[in-house]
Amino acid sequence: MSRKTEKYIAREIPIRELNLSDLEKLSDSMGLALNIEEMRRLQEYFAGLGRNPTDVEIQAMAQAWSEHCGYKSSRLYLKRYLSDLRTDYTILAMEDDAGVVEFDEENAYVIKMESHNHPSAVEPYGGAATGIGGVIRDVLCMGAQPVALLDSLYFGNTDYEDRKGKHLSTRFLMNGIVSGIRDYGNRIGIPTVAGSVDFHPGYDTNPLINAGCVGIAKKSDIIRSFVSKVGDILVIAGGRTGRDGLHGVNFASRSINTEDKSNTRSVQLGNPIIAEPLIHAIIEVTKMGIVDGMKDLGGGGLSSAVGELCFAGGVSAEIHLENLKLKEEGMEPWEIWVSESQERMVLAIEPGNLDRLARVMDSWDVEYSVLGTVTEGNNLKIFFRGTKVLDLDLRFLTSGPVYARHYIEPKIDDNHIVVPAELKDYNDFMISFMSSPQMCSRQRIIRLYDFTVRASTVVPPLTGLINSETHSDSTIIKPLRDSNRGLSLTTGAMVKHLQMDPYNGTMISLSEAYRNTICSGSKPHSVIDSLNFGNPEDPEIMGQFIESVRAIGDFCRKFNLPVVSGNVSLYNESEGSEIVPTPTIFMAGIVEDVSNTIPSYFQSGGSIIAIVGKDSMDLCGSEYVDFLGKKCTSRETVDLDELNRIGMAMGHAAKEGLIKSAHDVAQGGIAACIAEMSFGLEIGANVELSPLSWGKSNVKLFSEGGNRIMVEIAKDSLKRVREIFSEIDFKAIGETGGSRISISDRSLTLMDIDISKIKNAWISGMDNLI
Amino acid sequence: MVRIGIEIEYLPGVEDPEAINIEKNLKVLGFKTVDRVTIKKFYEIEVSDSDRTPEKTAQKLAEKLLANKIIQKYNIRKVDQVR
Repeated sequence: MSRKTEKYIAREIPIRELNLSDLEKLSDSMGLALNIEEMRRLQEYFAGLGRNPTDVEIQAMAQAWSEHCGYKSSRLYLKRYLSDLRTDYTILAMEDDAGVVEFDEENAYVIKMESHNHPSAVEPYGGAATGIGGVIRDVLCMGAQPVALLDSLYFGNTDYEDRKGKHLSTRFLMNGIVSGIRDYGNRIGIPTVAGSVDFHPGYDTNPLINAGCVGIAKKSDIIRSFVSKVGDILVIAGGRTGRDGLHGVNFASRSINTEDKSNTRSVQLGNPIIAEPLIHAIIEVTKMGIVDGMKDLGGGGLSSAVGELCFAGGVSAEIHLENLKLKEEGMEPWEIWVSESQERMVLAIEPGNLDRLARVMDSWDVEYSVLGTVTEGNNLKIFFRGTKVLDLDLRFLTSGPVYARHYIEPKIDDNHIVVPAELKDYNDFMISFMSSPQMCSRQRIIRLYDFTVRASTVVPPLTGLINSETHSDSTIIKPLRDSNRGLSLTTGAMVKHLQMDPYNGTMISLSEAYRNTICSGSKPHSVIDSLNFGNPEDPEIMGQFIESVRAIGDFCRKFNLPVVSGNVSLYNESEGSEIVPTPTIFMAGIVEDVSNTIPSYFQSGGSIIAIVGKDSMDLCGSEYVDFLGKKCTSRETVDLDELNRIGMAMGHAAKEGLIKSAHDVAQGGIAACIAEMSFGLEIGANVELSPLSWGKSNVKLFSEGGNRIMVEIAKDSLKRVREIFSEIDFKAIGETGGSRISISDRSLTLMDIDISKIKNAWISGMDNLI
Repeated sequence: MVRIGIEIEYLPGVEDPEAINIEKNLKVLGFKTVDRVTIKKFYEIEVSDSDRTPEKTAQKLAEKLLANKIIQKYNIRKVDQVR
């Protein structure tokens, strides 16, 4: 008898007889990452059943109860602060694998962002590529055609490689992560349209990669992430199942250790050549209307996908693991059940439709196998070569613990204000400042990504003179062929402000995303958050997390914006160094007509340059202070009422076509804002800062706070614009024209420099990094 | 001078899309007997005689630069043995 047909003998784990220290050892030796109370709960449960669990059962429990799948530290607070945020155009918010929001009468956009930090820290290329693959499948499993990708990346300081350490250097991580995203996104033909890149010593040993995806679908084609039809069959389509990515989610439930040999098995590798036809095949079967429920296989593998698919629909399933196509021989049933191999989807269909599904799969050369049947009752049953290896109540399996962890409010030292000495002139300073890693152009990364494939990118991430562009505030895509309605997309976080104060830093990040959206002429529509934090068992970190989630709730309630999806990544720490609290804010906006957007750079000479919004007199958290190597902390709040008024006024002015160009004042303050607006068409500016305030000149040049936007307005429309902005601080500070950037304060020249000098430095800032 | 060969391949279970697609296409071309294709990389490195432990040098440089031990393994042998 060959091994394949031989009856399997289930492996029993004698958990009932173990004492506390043995339970702990068992969790370690099996790679479960469950703590002692959780192990005790398992022990009690199986004692109640009067039997010992099998290895498959123990592994399945560990998957379902992991931080990644169970949100055990975060669920309480996500529910408290974000669950009431809905609007009448929200179709599905934080229910299924991705958020679904109304796009127009007939269509919806499907949106999701996810982190892939732990795998990328170990194997950057594979980790980043599978991050992209995973988020695409989250959108795909809702029945939507993916149309755009985004990525927010956070790296350590660029001098990290010069320091001795066991961790990978920033340059190596950056090259691996960026090429992973490039290779996956470009190969499957989905454009990577927007993102952000930040450098901070807090990410030295823990890079973050947050990948986002947007898809579009007919509202009637949306497929839910549950199945309720008893008798349906479960089909796995796509890649084969292998040993790659075993215990990935458990890995994400603890901190990274350099000596950790088990890391090697936690990394999944992507295969975009399977993902591409899989997308076509899934869209085709979705349109045929034969799919009753669908889920992608990501963290937790089959174990979490099948469990959640059935539990959410109030049914159960009988699974036969030997039916699965495997990458390698001799895999144990528990390995098959928890494998996180990529490019796999599980679909529930009626048995009678299998032939139709098979025809589509065959025509795209996509492999599939029938995994099992949907049954009545609560108990999930799994068989392997004739032996029952799992028989568990889904209610217990999915009833992972929810922790109200001990937390303390983050300490903020708000009395440590630094104002650096003024310089005589800022010409040379500006050249080195604008070419620093944090400030310089992201062209070297953006150009590696195909951002125009699918021919729907209306405002690309780089705009202006061809081959010498500036950055856009937000990217605009036109997802439907026969409609001019567009989606604006922007993502990022204000890292330096978050480090100072998680609550207000999150507010500033949201304000920046909001302003990025309105600057491009669109209306903010929905928010997606990817929350990256350190170890939640540390009360201070837990406090950071709670404050940040509270800020998202407060902001979105004020602006009536729904938080439709997101993810939480905790335990981002290694060797005692923790990351900056990083809630990546991904905002989608609606553009009524994509032929009517606002550019982010000066359009012509002779226009008025004006600043909208209250002044900021605070240099703390600015790139300027950081660039000078100074430490400064404060508690700067965001005036939400003002931002709301600015949003409405900008909307009016844009509708009347009065705004020639607009750019938000963010990293680098007004100085960087003027420079970036000049770069687009190389139109200079002549600015006098004295109308702003009586503060010091360097504060006016480089402070980043407030809700400020810089706008370009034609001279003859200034009167009308002033009327529209009558309830907001609105100060004309100069004129566009020439080929120099000259800035003065109280008639003293601070800067007078040729645009090309700063621009060349800005463009080549990353040359030595990637 | 000693010539050393370093052979690098994926760990078992790591999928190589390139190899899978070559295998698929060989079958399309009619080579029905092909069961499996594996792609490996072979480096030939010359080390001067002053190095008493050329294998150790090779091992060090393989770990430092050539192989990504998370997904690959390497094999070191004297080239003469290979040829």
